[in-house]
Amino acid sequence: MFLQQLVNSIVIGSVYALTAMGATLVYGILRVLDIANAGAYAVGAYIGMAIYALTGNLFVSLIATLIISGAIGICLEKFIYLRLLDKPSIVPLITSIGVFIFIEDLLRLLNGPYAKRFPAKLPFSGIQLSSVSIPATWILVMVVTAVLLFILWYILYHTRIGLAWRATAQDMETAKAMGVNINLVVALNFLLGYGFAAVAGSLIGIMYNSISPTMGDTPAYKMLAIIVLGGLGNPVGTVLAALIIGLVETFLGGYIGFFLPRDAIAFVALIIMLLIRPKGLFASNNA
Amino acid sequence: MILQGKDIEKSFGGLKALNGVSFELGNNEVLGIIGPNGAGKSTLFNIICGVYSPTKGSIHFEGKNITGLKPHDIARLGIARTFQIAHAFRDMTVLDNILTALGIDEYNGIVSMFKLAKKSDTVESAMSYIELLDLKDAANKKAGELSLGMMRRLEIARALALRPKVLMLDEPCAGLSYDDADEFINLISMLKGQKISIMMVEHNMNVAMRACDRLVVLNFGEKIAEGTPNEIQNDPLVIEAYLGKEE
Amino acid sequence: MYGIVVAINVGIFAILALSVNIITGYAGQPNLGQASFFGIGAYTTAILAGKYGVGFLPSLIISGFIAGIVGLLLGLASLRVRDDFLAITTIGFNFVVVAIFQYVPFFGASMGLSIPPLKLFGYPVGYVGLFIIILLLMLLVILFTKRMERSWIGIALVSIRNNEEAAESLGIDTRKFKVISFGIGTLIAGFAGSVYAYYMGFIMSYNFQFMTSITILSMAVVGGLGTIAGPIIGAIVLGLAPEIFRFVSDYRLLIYGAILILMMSFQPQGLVGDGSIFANIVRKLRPKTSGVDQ
Ligand SMILES: Nc1ncnc2c1ncn2[C@@H]1O[C@H](COP(=O)(O)OP(=O)(O)OP(=O)(O)O)[C@@H](O)[C@H]1O
Ligand SMILES: [Mg+2]
Repeated sequence: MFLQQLVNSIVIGSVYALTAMGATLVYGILRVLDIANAGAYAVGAYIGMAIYALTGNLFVSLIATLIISGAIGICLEKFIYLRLLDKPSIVPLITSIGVFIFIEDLLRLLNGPYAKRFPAKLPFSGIQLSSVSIPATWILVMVVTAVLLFILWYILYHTRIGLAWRATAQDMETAKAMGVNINLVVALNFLLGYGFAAVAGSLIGIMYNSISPTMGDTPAYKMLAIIVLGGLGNPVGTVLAALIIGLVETFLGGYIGFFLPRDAIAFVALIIMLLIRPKGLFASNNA
Repeated sequence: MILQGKDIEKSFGGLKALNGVSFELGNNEVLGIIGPNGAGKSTLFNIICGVYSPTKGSIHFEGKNITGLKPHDIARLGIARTFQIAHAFRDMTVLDNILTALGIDEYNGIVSMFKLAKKSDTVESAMSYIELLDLKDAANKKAGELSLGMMRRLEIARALALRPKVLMLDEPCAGLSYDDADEFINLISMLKGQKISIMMVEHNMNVAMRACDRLVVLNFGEKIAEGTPNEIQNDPLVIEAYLGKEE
Repeated sequence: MYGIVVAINVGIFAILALSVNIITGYAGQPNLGQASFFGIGAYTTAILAGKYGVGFLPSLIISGFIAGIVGLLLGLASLRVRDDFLAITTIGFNFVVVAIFQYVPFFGASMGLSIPPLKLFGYPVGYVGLFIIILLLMLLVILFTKRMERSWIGIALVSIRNNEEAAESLGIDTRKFKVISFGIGTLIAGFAGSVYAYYMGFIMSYNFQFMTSITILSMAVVGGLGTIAGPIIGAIVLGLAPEIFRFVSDYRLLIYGAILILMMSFQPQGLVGDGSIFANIVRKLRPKTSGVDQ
């Protein structure tokens, strides 16, 4: 029972980590709270389903989801966010909320308001280890998350552009002065940020075999709690915070569910943390 | 002596920005703080004004220990300051910028804070500071629209509107033209005539030599020399640390 | 009949937009949880009037004060965190408050709470009467904000919005003023909540969710933060938009989102905010005044 719940919480934490990573990356560079990033989550689920229906290949559909949604992210960045950076921070915030509402409603208009099924055939089957059963979809979620986070880690810490990313996150002006190609960094940032959230949406769609236009609602807000817990703009902190929230929700959800809904737990954790450690659980230097 | 710092030390993480710095500002004196970039001059200012509290050491104002007080308390005691990077209230007009300082006695009480700000005598008083710094034509302009030189003057006017006993200026002439600097020196001597003690950071050696009665030289967080401009000019340590590098 | 319902709604949201304007517009503190204080006001009235039969005026006043006290506490907590954290803290607060309304039986849980029809001096007050009450309340809020704008507290708040460090250096206790702005803004939201409860006759946690906070803040931003006309105009524009776009009712949210994006991209100061096209025209037409108060 305990192990079963542990695995369950890791799966949930993985999805949270992927979803929140986008907003973390965007905040890390632009200092914008990007609620619209959760729009990519729902968009990703629909794109993933459409391409899967077309090709029947899960791998292709996940890659395509990442790239298409990443491209959408880059467009948002180029046409909307970049122009707002010198405005008071409330301006990009309201804009991103506008974008989120717009995306969600567009999905509803295109696909109807009801949930659709996302029946994916996985090329492997689930595992049963004595009392712990791990469905195939869970394995998919964990493997894809691990791979993507590994790629992100590799890019950030072992490539030139990753170095540029970290320099820009420290101080954009200085990075610019030192000849870092900011445009490239920001574009990569949105590509990965929106791509990851989109894949997370696809994975959740597959896991629950259900997608809907408003599926991004809860992640949109919970993601905010997670990125603050993780120290705002700190990718490693975000993964840890996501896993912690996954754990707390799974293990405590059953006990306090009669009083607080599961989805409020992240915020209670957030408020408690801010009272105890106002700089964030894993505050990073640049945050 | 109106202001005194004793053995001030300040560390930021591993970096010692100030290390055992002491200074004294005499009544009606103009004290210059000079030193190369990163020497700790602004940090010293921020410690005096309560933005940071020192890791060690203390600050005394008119004999009273003011270490650790909040910036607004220190302003209320009579120490006014300007900032190295312009800190004007950009959305507000020049007049309103000055008014902000004139409200200093009204901000404490919950009743007095609801008193009207733009009474004619208050506005008149604000205008006198505006005229003093030659900003009359810009009085109704947004501070954000001002040129750098005007913004620096605005900050000085705003600080003066607190009617301080001590005025602290952090690089008031940075980015100004030669003529402006001349005018600035005149302003300093005029303020001296009004019994205001002044402490200023100045990078322009020429201005520092002419405006200040005494100079304190900082380098890597330590005081390496102190004396009249003449003495400082001929101090080999200073020449090595500061003047030598500048040339 | 239908018109008055729309007018009441717009009026209540205008008061709410004015309330968040004090916190976010003047003091510059992001607040994305104003609906929770609206809700605290409404639920207080529902409990006082519905469960204990308390009359209109005491309910209204107590509701405002309870919301304001909770707001003061949130303001105090907000001192500990940075701006960006504060935005998210207020969102989190909104979720937690809604969850409490939704799950705690005392607050009706998922059944909501009902409020008896409004009576004044023994006479029932209909929609028209309610609308007049709302207009009066709005007038009070406008007068208060105007007074605030012209007094030292207004100057202090705007200076904090512009540059906290400089404000401190001029003797302004920025922490105190931030907390005061939270207290005032949430107090007003509590009043609005109380009237809203009477108007609805029945409230549920759903009415005060995060999306409502977004609507309130969007109205203030679209109209023009830090002005008095702005939030009112914003409430009228965004409040009427769903009615005007009724013929394309299916696209309402899409249009709503688009309005926010376009406004922020091209008129981030809001419709009547400082430097907007409208404000510039007014500035040109109006003769220069010194603006001195006697
Ligand atoms: N808030 C801070 N956190 C960390 N380090 C700081 C901070 N403020 C200043 N420092 C460091 O302390 C040292 C002294 O800085 P300070 O700004 O006092 O120098 P300065 O003499 O005013 O230089 P400049 O002439 O460039 O203005 C520098 O190395 C600076 O990087
Ligand atoms: Mg300096």
